[in-house]
Amino acid sequence: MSVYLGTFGKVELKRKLDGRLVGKINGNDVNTAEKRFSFDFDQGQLITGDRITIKEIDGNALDFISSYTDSSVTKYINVDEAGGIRLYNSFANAVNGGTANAPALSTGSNLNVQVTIENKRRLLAQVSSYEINTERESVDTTVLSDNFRQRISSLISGSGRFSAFWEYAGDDSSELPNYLLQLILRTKVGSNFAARLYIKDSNYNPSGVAIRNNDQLYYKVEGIITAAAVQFSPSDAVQITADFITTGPVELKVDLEVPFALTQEDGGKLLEDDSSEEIGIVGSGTS
Amino acid sequence: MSYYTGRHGSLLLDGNTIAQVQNWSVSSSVSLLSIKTLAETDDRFIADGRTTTGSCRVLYYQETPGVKGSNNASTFINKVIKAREVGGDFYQGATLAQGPNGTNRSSLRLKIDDGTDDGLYIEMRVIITNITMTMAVGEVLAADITFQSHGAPQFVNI
Repeated sequence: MSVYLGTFGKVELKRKLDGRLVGKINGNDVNTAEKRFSFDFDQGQLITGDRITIKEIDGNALDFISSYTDSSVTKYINVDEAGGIRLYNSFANAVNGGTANAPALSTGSNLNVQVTIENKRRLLAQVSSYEINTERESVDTTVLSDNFRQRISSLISGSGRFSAFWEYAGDDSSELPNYLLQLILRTKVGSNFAARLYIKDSNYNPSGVAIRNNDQLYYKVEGIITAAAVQFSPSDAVQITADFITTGPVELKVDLEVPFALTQEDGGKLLEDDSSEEIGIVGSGTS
Repeated sequence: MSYYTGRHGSLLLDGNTIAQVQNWSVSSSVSLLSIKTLAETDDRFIADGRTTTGSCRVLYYQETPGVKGSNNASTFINKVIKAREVGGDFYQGATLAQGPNGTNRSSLRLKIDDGTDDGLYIEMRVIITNITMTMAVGEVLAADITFQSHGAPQFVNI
């Protein structure tokens, strides 16, 4: 028997949007010098690092991007304090911001657009602890003359909490805890997220059984942040906590190391339709 | 000294014990007529009549999938909820008779098992006045039934 340490756990977060945003990009809201534009919906719905797809509802070209002729575009975004948005090709560039890596914009026509978010999973940095609770409700079916209380299984619900040391910058590959504080303040599109909460990660193997080295066990959930708090006091590290409830199935995934890897004929990885998840690759989080 | 709980309860409809009864209750109230007259300070009454009503909750279940079974919630439901009968062109109704063999009323015995053969009981001729079935997330399908006694109870041993 072995003892597993929390030191080797991790949380992966995937940004989600509850529904879609519909609004306008007005031609005169495009600042070509700053490579920045804005939507006409409320600020705070989009957060720096979001990978958004902008689709022109009427099928017109998104001509506010220089030389762009398609009606749909998927990019990472950086959002400034005034709600101005810059587009980028990578999460790292979006987090770092600036005009250097943003595509040139041009003053185009007024566009009716819808915006959706679909990000890849990213490690949630600075996590000091997490917990997830699953609860099974039961329905009492005890009837007259029974000596013992009878119950049958009913619905399952989940809830939990992330605790982390607060951080907002300095890492351009991971999600930072400040994102959870921003997430709960989104008004129109909810505080949804998807997450994997790892109990056992690959390359951590207290069992001593070699073949179990790359096994991964994790909870896979989709949820809503229901409460977020910052604990700020002198002489203590600034910490945040974020409570969540699940919005669908709570799955305990067991990704055991298998003696083969599912790949394409050319040896390439199999990807889901949106290229956000690898399928069937040992150690990649097969689902 | 003996106390009784749900463990000691049961319910018989037309002589048959109904399964999966979750609770029953009975209520008897007496209506009064005031005979207070002028110059009197305090109310005086004579009893005018008596109404006995009750309710029960029966879980809906099937012992064997596809077979409704008998002596369960279905028995109650089928006394009230009936398909229309074949009749004339304009007849769209169904009989209101609830008792066995076309009789109007059913016999209901509310029983407490006190260890004797017959137990303690109230038995009355009843008309079922309401059946409510609710299918809801996280709850077991059950029939909430209310009934009213036709006349005084036939047997009272309580």
